[in-house]
Amino acid sequence: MSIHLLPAHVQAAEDLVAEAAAHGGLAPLDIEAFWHDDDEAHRDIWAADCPQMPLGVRMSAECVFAELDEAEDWHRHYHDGAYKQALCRRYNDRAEPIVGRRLLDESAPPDPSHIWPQPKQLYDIFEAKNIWNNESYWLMQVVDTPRDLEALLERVEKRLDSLRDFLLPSEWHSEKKRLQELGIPSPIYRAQRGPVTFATSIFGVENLIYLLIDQPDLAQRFSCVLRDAILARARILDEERGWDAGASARGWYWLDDNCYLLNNEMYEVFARPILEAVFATYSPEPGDRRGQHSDSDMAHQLPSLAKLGLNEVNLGPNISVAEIRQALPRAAIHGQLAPFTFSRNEEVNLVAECIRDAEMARTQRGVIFSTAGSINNGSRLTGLRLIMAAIQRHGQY
Amino acid sequence: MQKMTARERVHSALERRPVDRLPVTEGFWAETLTRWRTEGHLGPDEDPIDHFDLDMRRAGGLNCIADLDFEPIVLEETAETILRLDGNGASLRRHKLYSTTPEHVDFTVKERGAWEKAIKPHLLAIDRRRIPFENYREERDKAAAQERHFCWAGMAPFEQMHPMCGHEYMLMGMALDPDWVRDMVNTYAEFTIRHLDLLFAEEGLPDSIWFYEDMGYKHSPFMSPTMYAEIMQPGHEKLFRYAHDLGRKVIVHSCGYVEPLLSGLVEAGMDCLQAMEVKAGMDLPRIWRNFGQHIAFCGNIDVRELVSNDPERMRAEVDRKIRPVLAGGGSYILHSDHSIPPDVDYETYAAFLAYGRPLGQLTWPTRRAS
Repeated sequence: MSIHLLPAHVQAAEDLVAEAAAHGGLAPLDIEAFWHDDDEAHRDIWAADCPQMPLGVRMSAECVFAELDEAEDWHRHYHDGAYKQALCRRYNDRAEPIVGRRLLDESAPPDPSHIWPQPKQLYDIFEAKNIWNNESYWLMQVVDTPRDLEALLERVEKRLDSLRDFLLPSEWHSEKKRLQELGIPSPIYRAQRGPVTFATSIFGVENLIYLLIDQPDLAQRFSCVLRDAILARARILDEERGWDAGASARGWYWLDDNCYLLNNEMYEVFARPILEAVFATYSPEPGDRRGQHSDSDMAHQLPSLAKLGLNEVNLGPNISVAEIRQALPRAAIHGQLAPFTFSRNEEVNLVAECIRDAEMARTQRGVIFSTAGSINNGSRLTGLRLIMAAIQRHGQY
Repeated sequence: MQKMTARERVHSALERRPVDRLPVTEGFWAETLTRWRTEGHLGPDEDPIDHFDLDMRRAGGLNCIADLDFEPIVLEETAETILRLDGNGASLRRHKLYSTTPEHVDFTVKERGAWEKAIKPHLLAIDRRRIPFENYREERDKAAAQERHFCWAGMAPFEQMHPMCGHEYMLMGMALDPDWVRDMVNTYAEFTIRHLDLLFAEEGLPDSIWFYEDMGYKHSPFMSPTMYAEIMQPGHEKLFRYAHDLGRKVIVHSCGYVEPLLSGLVEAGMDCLQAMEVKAGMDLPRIWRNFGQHIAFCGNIDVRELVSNDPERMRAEVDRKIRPVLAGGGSYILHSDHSIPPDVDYETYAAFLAYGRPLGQLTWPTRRAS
């Protein structure tokens, strides 16, 4: 549902949609001028001479099914690189005349002999399984009671004592020399499912909330072990890359949809210390990336995100550009188009939300117009063209 | 074993003593009875308790609306729903065409101040209008004439609080202002005891006391065991002690997954746990292993197996759930895991009773041996 829309936004949107309808569904747009200005806008999203609100939507490979009217086969989409490549190529063939660019990655799947063996994930350290079920991967619950959690944390703590042996697969060292000689860098670790989403996945949502209320000491220990595991995994993979602590790549990004489930007091106790420690290590300078995606109701967590100095956010659609900007004056805001507005192809709302956000961005800039969350299958190229036209007509700075 | 009256049978089951056959009680959807009547299985006014010779009658629930003088205000009405502000200060949207859980739209009480000002004063004195004397008397007399067990049945504090302040405010209160919720629990417990005292003094005692207390949902209780112990349990102890002081057993009905709360409920004095919804995660054989030495059980027959209308599936479910309890010397009252919806054929339900009832005889030699 669209929020914060004014009658003027809706009126302007209806006019543009009517024009598109009169042209076979294609919104009036100077494609070449749009991309020229968009490239310019991305050069510095804060600049006084930034020509227009930059567009962040580049669609996603999920959108191929609805756009191409293909039967959904998500398992194959995730696991068959050639199949996905073919779909993306067909999608791009369709995209080019509508929006003027080939949006999806249509490069060939990597040569298997050029892929590093997979180091174990954070969830492996916590004995969790990531299971394919109902068209997606789900991180499954490991423990259900505080007593079992305590036992798990003890095992994880022991595991952290010799984490390198646990983390790296047996063939790692034999492959390392060969792949380094080919100039293929080993994987590093700079993004993670956020602490609340991770903890609620492996321990249960209610269990974590009850733990924070009833057994704050154990909750704090859980938080500390999680922090230590993240830092240790990142450090080991850096070392395998040949980096020491001072010379590693900067920046970190969190994906923490569930953090809205905690009140701010709980978030401060459980999650913020983890983000703080990771940012202190990997994003120590003001310009280093401190990003978070949480496509949920995030207003109550903004004070914590502000304390953490986030400089890049992609938050849920119930919060406005103005509210985020007030809390995070220097954060790039990726949003605030409601994902359902896009995937349900609500054309008038699509345009109206774009005009709304352009108005809120005009004074302070820093908004990259994107979905406030994921781009879902059902989101259409004609919808993207409408957005582009809306920016060209109403989103000029 | 000598044949028992229904009253004796339920009494024995609640005392966790042998029975001549399993006692039975059940809840039927109105649509189920309509269907079975339309199909000619039940007479137009025939009571299913009489028709199936069920063992228990229940009556007597109190009117817990805070302000009985408040005339409900219709805030919105459509062809299908009606939104009303009621004497609890709650705006609840109900469906007009069928009965279902109301939508919680808004509440006057969101925190302690509004509770103390708008609700609590109404609950401190006895009001005879809250007590269904006549209905209680009629059902009790009917049960006595038929030698059936008679239960007073009504809400306990959790079920009394949420229609007034909603689940969300109540649960946030438990986390953020537990003293407020403790006060509500205690106020409602004392409110109930005051009114039951009057009812029982004028109309006589029931055979047992049944509290409705839905404290769980799918796979989780609404609160942690610690929160239960600190906030809810004192109220339950007060109510259950009251029943025990009258020499009456306590049956607790709860929908949802409440297994983590059972230690506390047993400690509070619960004598029998009822419903045990399978789809929420409740499993009688497991619960029996942990709590069978302390309480009797009623329910947990997965209604989806009855809905299948497949006699084999029905028998398999009954065997899987009840036989381990009885074989271990446990005590059980036959009941679905909630109630009987209209998809259950009359023949299936009749076959369920015919198959389940005789299993009660299994308990005797095992119990004697133990």
